[in-house]
Amino acid sequence: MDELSLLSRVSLYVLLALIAILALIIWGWQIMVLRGRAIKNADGSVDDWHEQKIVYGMAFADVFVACPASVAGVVLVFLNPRWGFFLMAMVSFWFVWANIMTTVTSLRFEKPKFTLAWFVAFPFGIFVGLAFIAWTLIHFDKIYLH
Amino acid sequence: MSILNKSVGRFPLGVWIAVVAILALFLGWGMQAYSLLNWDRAVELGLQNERFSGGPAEGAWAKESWGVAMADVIWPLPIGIAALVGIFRKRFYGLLTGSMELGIGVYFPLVFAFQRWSTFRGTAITAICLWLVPSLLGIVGLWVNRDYFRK
Repeated sequence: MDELSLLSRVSLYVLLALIAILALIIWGWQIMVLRGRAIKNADGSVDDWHEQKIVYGMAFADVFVACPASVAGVVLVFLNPRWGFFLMAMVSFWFVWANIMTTVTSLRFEKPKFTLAWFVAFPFGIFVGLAFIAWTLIHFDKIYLH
Repeated sequence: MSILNKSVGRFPLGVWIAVVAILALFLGWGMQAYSLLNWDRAVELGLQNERFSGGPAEGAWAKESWGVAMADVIWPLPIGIAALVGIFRKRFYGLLTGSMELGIGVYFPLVFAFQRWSTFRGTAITAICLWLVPSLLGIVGLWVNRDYFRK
């Protein structure tokens, strides 16, 4: 971490902050879904496992695996960078995968209006995840091989 | 040295477990790719559980499954190829991409199990045995052999 330039550190902190914020929002959102609340998405669809049980599994996995791992990864980058970056590799991959899944489903089946809220709720996580992976590749030697 | 560090031919045992787990995931990505090409046939073959024409509830499940299939083909499939190449070349990016791939191998069977435990329990158990457990072991196997990739 000490070998990173100022620009590299600032870009890392921005990406980590975005990942942490998104993970915390998803965590809170999915906790409400898991408790049985019907929550409307930015594309007009509704997450309500009473109506569609499919929503329950994803909420459960997000609440107990993906979101805690994301927050733990961000914290560990500062406390134990080796573990932190290793965990963040998996987290960034999950960010891209999960957001591709929700975005393509929304685009094909919900015919959404392309608002800022839709962009933040659906494809934004793909760009954040890809940006973190790109950052990792650029700084690969410094964060993993030193 | 744990048993996962023990050398078995070309790789330590832990790396072999990761390779097998990634290959098992490829079986899943192949099923997903075929489903996107011919959804109804994939349902007939048991690769998918729901039809788009099966009513509102079943249709909703089908939409979600289609999204998962598309995401699997766009993202974990190419990363899995990079993981296998990296692992076989003993490069550190193999450890990283392998971990990414196996992370999804833990995540999606868990989602699947909690979605379909009451309706398709056999499929859920198969997903746990075929993908979740090997992926979890694969992540541990890669991590305990992380020094192996620095050569």
